[in-house]
Amino acid sequence: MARLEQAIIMSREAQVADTALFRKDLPKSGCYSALDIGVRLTNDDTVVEDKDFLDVIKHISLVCNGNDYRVHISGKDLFKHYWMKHGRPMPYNWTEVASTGVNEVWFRLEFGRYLGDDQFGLDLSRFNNVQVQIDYDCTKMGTAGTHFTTGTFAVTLIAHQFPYARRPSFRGMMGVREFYTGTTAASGDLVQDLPTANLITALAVSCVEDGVADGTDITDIRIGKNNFSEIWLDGKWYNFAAMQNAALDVREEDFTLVASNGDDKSTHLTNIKNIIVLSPDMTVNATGVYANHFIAGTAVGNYVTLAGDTLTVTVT
Amino acid sequence: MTTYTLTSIAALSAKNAVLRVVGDIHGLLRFPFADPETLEGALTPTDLATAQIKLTQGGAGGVLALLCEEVFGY
Repeated sequence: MARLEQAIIMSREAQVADTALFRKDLPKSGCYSALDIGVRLTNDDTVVEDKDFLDVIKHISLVCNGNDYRVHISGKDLFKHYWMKHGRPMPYNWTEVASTGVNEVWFRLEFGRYLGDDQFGLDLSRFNNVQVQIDYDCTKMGTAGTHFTTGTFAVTLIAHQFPYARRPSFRGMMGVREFYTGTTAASGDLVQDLPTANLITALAVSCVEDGVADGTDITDIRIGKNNFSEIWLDGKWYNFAAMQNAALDVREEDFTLVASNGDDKSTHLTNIKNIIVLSPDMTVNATGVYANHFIAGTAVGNYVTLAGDTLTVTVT
Repeated sequence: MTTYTLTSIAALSAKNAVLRVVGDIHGLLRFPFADPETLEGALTPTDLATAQIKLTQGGAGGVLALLCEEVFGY
């Protein structure tokens, strides 16, 4: 296997617009095994509470020849899909700290079975044009100039590419796409046809509702053909969830908060088994007055609700 | 002798904190059909001609997306 190169296509390039469709044409030639996308946004003077930076990334797409979407998926789903597939999340920093806090998250678009796969990958020379698109909306993090600093949405692109002299001849490439989006109804079955044009190696179902007990509104999933006379998969969401999450290497998520009593924080985990909240913000003044902060959290679905007190102790 | 006197208790307000939660990934399930190395078991266009997914809904307002991982030929 050839040693992959990591080619920096762009590095923390700040975007003027706070809400836009970012487009970047990839080079005309090159064989990519994967493409990493990193995005950042700087907090402003007012603390932003209970906002999800992943909501800023409405969609990430890889568009070939202008209209052939090989990747098209929301930021939230892409982050969780990678986590579920590989057992660990891509790097992230979720912070509410005003002024100096920088929210950051990385995504990986995988074009082969694994990094360095010489059978499957993105061969740019096969297309007239290959474009990365990021549909983003920073106002999901609050108000420009108040909660986030305008003009600080920055994009990094890093290609994991084969050396030019050792480019493989790929048989094909892999992608991941949304083929249906919607909102659930209170009851009843939702039946959708699967896409038919290409081999499908895996399917995923994303269904989230914040702050409800199971974190989802789907109870059963069935996949099959011929009006389900042949069934490939059939079962309860909670059983699949238990089975699939048991295989994860990383089951924890970290946040930096500016916490007040009664705050809610929505996380990317549900069925929360453990909550640890600590405050490093203890103060001591010259006269020996200590302020200690005690915080606890309770969870419903993916919501953590904080309860905390500040105890002031005078030392004499 | 040092004396510690509790002088006040107030509701926590805007203090730095670190939060760690442990649980399951929120609202996403992935169903691989193919062997990750050989891709044996992948759903072919012949399989897919009449293939469907059925979801039983148990509550309104959930944000839903169906995703597929595909292999595109050159």
